[in-house]
Amino acid sequence: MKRFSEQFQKKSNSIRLRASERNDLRDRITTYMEYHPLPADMKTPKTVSKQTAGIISEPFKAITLNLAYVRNFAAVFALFMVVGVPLVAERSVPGDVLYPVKTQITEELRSSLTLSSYAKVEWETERLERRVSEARLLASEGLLTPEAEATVAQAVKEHTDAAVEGIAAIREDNEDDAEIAEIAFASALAVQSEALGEQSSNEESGSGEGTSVATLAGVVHEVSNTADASQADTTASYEGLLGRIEIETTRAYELFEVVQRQASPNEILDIERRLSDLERKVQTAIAVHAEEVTQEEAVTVEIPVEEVLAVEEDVGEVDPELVEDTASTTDEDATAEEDVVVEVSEEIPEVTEEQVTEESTITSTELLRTAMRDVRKLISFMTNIDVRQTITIEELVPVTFTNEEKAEQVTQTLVVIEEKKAELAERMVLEEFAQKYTPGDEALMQTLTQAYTAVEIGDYDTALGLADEALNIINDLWLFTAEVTEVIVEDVVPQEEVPEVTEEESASTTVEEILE
Amino acid sequence: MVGQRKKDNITGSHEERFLKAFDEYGDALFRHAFLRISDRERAIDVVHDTFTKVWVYVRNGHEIDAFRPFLYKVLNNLIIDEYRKAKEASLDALFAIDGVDEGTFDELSESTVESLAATLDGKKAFAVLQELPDTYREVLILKFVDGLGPKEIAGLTEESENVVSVRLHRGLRLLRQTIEMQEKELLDQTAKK
Repeated sequence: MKRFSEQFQKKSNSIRLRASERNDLRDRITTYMEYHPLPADMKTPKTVSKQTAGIISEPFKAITLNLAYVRNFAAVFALFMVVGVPLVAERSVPGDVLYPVKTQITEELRSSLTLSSYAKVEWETERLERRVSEARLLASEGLLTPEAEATVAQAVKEHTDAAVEGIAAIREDNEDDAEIAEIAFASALAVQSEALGEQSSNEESGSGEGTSVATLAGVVHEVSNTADASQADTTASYEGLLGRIEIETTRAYELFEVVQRQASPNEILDIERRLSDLERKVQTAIAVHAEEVTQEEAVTVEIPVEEVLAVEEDVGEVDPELVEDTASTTDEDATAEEDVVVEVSEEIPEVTEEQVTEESTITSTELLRTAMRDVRKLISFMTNIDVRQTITIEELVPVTFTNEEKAEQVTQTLVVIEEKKAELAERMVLEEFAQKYTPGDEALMQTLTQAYTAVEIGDYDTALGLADEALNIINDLWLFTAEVTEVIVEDVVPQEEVPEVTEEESASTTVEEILE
Repeated sequence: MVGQRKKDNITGSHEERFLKAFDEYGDALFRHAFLRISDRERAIDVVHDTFTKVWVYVRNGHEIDAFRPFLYKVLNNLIIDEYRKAKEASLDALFAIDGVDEGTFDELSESTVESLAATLDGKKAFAVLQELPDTYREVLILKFVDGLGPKEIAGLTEESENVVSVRLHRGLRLLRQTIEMQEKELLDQTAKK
């Protein structure tokens, strides 16, 4: 049987369609199918039998949807809503459709995600900065309507309140932190206030193209003043301040690295200078603080001389750190430190020990607070590009000169004064001239003497002030004498006498004014 | 995604399923038709007609669960139609062939069919297949070429399984007789020579 079937099968298998026949047949069948297509309701499989079985009712027409497709679409849509919308919203400004998403959802979410009170205050500060920069952006485009400005002003007030609240919350746990936060907040406000003030004054002078930010500037200024006033009477501890400054300085350096890529060489130099100023301030504060510790110990242990020496050692230890951070200004720093130490040690014999301690405590925290304010301002300056466009760094954080630089400035001023003086002396030949000059000269000599004394004792601040004063006097004298000279020249070739008298009068009043 | 593709294999669109059936059974159907009709061109036409008829059936909204038996059924009917057209007169005569009686019950068992088949030479049997009347050829082809079981054959030919068995038995006997006759003729011819 098996053999028969096998043979039979084998034989029959030789009968098959040739490839051409097969293709031809397939074509004929598919053509037939194309000419006799399925009715529309049969296009989707499986639904046929069901539909013919049931009663088709019009009001409930069933639409079949591919569930997988719907699911994918929903996933993509959800992703867009969760990621895409907030991303796009971040760039919105008041008046945009997505602006509420930014302020009411994204920022609120971030706010609720910040855990520490300090971070919360920082975040509120940043939000405030954001609002102001949005307003500034709108204003520069000329799109800032009074309503929008009012909204921003309202938001600024809200964020200020939130920040103040946050500070109050911190105060409950840690007085120091609260005060540091206050300083930081006030600094940020000061920057914004300054920038806005600059912008609105630009607008008043007619240079600004955009709409006015005057109202907002007023609000921010007011808030800033309040914050400034409240932070002014704070007495944060030395350690707390130092710790926070350390953190902020690190942040400032990080920011600086980022800013470096896009800032102009001048800007980089400016910022570098401010950063090294900061370092110096901190170092000075540390030195002063070390000194005051010495003093405290001196009161109890009563071996002041050794302790003073110890302070000098401390300073020596600090110096290598400076070398790492700001190579360019190391020398200045070193001299600055030495000066401070010298100054302090000189002061010791003059005042009682108790007084010194008190005085230097104020100085060290005071120094640190200035440093803190400066570093916050620097950070604000670097983070807000629009602030950078409106005001210069000099307006925010003026350069702090080292004693050496101050000395150099004084010397330069004095040299200029001496030169002018020499030139003036030449003119003294004229009798009339000398008559007018002498009272001015006396005042000048007095100021100059004071200035030289100040330089000698190392009080460069006073010296600089005096030198500036002297320079003013000599400049006035110079102007005045120049006028007299002109008059004399005119006298040589006699002309009308009337203007001569008036000029003399006016000149003499100038000198009198100077003397006053 | 995998699940979706699997589902497509089961259901698929009507067109896909239909063309898949052609690819799978086209050859077998042609072989069957050719063995029955003995004309290549007409066999192809019959297969074509089979598929168009089935397509019309699908278009009318009928669901086909298994294509193979259905296709065989349609093909079988069409082949019978072919016979009717071509040999209308001779159909009845087919049953009156000499030596073909209605048989007895002892023939009606699978084992006897198999033992009978074992005595046959497959190649020779295949060669003389065309000599047999279609009634026998049909069941023989369905059994030995298409490999269908007696039940399926019964369904297709609309006869009982017994009748199918009897026909198979007689078909095989006829095949043997035909082979023997041919061999005898061959011997006679060589003897005469």
